[in-house]
Amino acid sequence: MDDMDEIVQEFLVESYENLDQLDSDLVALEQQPGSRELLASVFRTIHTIKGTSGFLAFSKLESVAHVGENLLARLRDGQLVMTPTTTDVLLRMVDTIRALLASIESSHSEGPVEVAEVVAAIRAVLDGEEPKLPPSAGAGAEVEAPAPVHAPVAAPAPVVEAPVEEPAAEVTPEPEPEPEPAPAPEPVVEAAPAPVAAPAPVAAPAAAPAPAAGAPSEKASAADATIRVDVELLESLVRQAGELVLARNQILQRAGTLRDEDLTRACHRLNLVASEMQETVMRTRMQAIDHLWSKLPRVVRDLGNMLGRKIKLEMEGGETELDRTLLEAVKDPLTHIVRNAVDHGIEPPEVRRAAGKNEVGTLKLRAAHEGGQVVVEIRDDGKGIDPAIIGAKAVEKGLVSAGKLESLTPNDILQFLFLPGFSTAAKVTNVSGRGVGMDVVKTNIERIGGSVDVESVNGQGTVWRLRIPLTLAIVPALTVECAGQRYAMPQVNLLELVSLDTERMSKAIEDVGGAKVYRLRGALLPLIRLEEALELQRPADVELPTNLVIAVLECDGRRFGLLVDRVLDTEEIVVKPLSGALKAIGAYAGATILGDGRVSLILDVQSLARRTMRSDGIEHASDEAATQQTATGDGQRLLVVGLGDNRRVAIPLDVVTRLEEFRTESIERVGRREVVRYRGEILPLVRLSHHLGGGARASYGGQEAASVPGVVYSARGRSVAIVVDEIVDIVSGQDAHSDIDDAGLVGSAVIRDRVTELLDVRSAILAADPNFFTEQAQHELAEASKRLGV
Amino acid sequence: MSTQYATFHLAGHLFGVEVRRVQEVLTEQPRTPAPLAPYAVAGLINLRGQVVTALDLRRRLNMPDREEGKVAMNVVVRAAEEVWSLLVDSIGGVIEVTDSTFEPPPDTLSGPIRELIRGAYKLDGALLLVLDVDKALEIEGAETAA
Repeated sequence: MDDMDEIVQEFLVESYENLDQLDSDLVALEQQPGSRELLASVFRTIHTIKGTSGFLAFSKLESVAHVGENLLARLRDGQLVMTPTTTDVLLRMVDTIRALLASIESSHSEGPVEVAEVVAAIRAVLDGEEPKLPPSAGAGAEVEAPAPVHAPVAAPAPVVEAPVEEPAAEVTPEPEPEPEPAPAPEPVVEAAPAPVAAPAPVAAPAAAPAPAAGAPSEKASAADATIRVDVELLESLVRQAGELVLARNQILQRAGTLRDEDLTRACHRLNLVASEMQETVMRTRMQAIDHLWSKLPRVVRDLGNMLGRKIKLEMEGGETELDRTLLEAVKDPLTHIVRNAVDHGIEPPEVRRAAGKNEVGTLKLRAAHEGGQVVVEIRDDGKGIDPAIIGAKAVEKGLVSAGKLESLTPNDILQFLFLPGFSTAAKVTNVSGRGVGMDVVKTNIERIGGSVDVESVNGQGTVWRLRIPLTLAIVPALTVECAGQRYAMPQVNLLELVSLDTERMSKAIEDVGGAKVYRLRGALLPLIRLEEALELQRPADVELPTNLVIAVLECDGRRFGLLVDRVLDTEEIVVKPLSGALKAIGAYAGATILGDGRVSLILDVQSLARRTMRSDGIEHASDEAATQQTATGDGQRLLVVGLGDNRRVAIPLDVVTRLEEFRTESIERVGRREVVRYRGEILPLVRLSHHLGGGARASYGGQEAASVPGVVYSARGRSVAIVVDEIVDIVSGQDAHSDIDDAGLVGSAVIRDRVTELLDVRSAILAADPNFFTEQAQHELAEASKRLGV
Repeated sequence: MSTQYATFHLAGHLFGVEVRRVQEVLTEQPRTPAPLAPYAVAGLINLRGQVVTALDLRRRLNMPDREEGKVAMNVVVRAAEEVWSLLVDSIGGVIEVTDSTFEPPPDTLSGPIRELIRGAYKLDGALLLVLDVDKALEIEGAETAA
């Protein structure tokens, strides 16, 4: 019996994958009705399902697949021509199969799913008649993969047992084309020869073109390279790898204090193995975003047809991978935004024509890795979002005063879209107005440590941009201390750190009607004292520090400063879940275990901000202001690093992708260059002390530390690392500049009372990798250097 | 019928939890305080890489705090999907009791302890109070620290 279960289980997994493929194939087929390749692929898929279901004695499933296969065979052999009606019945067949599979999965039987109707409809098409199907409204709106058991097909319309003639009997070579009810898809075909064909080569191994026979051969080819692994098993492996990393951290910290060479060497090995293992294990959970995208052509097609929109869907970067748990979390927000774009973004064809646009709207999805994150863009060329309308609505809802509205940039105003209950839909359609708004999208994305923003040009279109971390389990974090306790804070939200000595503090921190603010380069930054926000009681033996640090954070498009006693370190932390009782507090995003084995809470910066501040008192950080600040030079954020001989060098933070520790022993050589293997790549290194000359402490063997900090810069798939002796701080602004410089520098400045050299990043990167720059990157870097140069 | 209980002492009372719920017993562990948490939460401990919430049973049962300097023992128990540590004064042994000696909580018992006790076994010279672990862990929305 168990064996049987296993076979059924495997059948289900495989069939679900095949169905997704089927969806996109069919939609693509509608655009290219003549494509032999697509027809053959669809036919094969159905054939496989039919074969297996017959073997497993799922008779309903078999009958649906059987008649579907007949229809597809006709199409394939050119005896019938694909029409919208044919597509409709075929998609309906897919829905029915899906409903049957869902039922098999939940109840181990085919259940009450009604199949006669769809069988009849397909037969009707085979006979060249108009199929009797209830209007296809609901089908498109349903996004979830396994449709509920009572799928649209379950409608109890009296079944017209179609004249069951032997289909092969009437060979109508050129059947009358069906009367076409829907606007024909021709313009789409003209506009782009293969608009929806993109998702066809979906990563799913099962989809690999195999000789017609179906399942066995496909499986064989997939089995050569991959195996299926239970997700839970994988999760537990990931957890254990995380534990291993933590244990390693602890051991390294302890071993660092001992003088035992053998132990040190063993530690290095442990370090190496643990890091690599963690990397590899994390990679096993990576999935291409195509996995989500493959469902979208169907969604867009159905929705477009329902709303009378003509839409060309383009997808780019489907191979971009991210952690599957994150993929899961992104699914609904992504679908929501896509639906929203079809419903509210892209105008009906006549409106587009009147506006002088191509009546076929373009919806473009793009995914890419950028700076340690995955960025997903959903861009439409529709009517855009009118800030005036949003602004008026915001005033009407009392979210902002009319006077204040005038001072807001259009971009600021668009952020209101993310507030709960904010909807500008003129009418509630079947698609929108289901009580799900952009606020939910935002909440869901933020829950996984990502962010979402929107840009729009009135009349020209809208871009939604999701930024998602690569993986959930491990995040770079800053550890801070407050009232004798340590807390971790994800670095995603961190903009900069401002250190204040107590003398200056009383002057620097001002009071606006009870709210503390700090003037950050002229703008008022609302402050939250962590001590107060968490109602910490400072133990008698923990004195007020002589310095306080403001961590400048941004979330929800707002900036604020979190006042803590001290910043301790940056660490890659492994996020551990909290018990429900602590989660409910809303101040913590999780917990982690630091190098010394102590538990530390991870602050949920978003909720802290929301808890502590009333929204009208919060300054909206506008992108415009931010650009100005970076452009004026004194707002430049710098990473200050230390070199031997007490030198300090500043690197603009915007060229810092990540900070890493490299084990000295892992540094290898290629010719005269040093490299390190890193995340499956070979990463060229440049030792800053060598590059800048003098103070060459970094030599092999000798006195060098077991690991060295590296500043990793990545752009367009290339990375280099600048190896330094010490990471000192992140600062902003400089007090005094001079143009006294030297090779590899663009000047110097006084930062925190120390003369600090300003690195010519471009030349440092070129020293590591002379072929690093594409033209565009060159331009960007030149800009960054210019800003530094002043 | 008889049942096995892991026992511990709390402010002079003898308490018991079903043995199958107890994962392990630990001596005092370093705890990280959890600000804003309900009053009874004593902090978080690192249990071999797992972050476990520690619940001070004295506080949960509205008893006076442990005297300064007295260490708390951890009784690590499994709840539905989480692992918790119950802070107690000292650990007793595992004892087997017969159902015939069981009685529901006396009517005179009041306060939180009445809610959290399933009943008592009458032992020789002592009462074994049976803690309802799941109820004890229901602290969401419970009072926060004063």
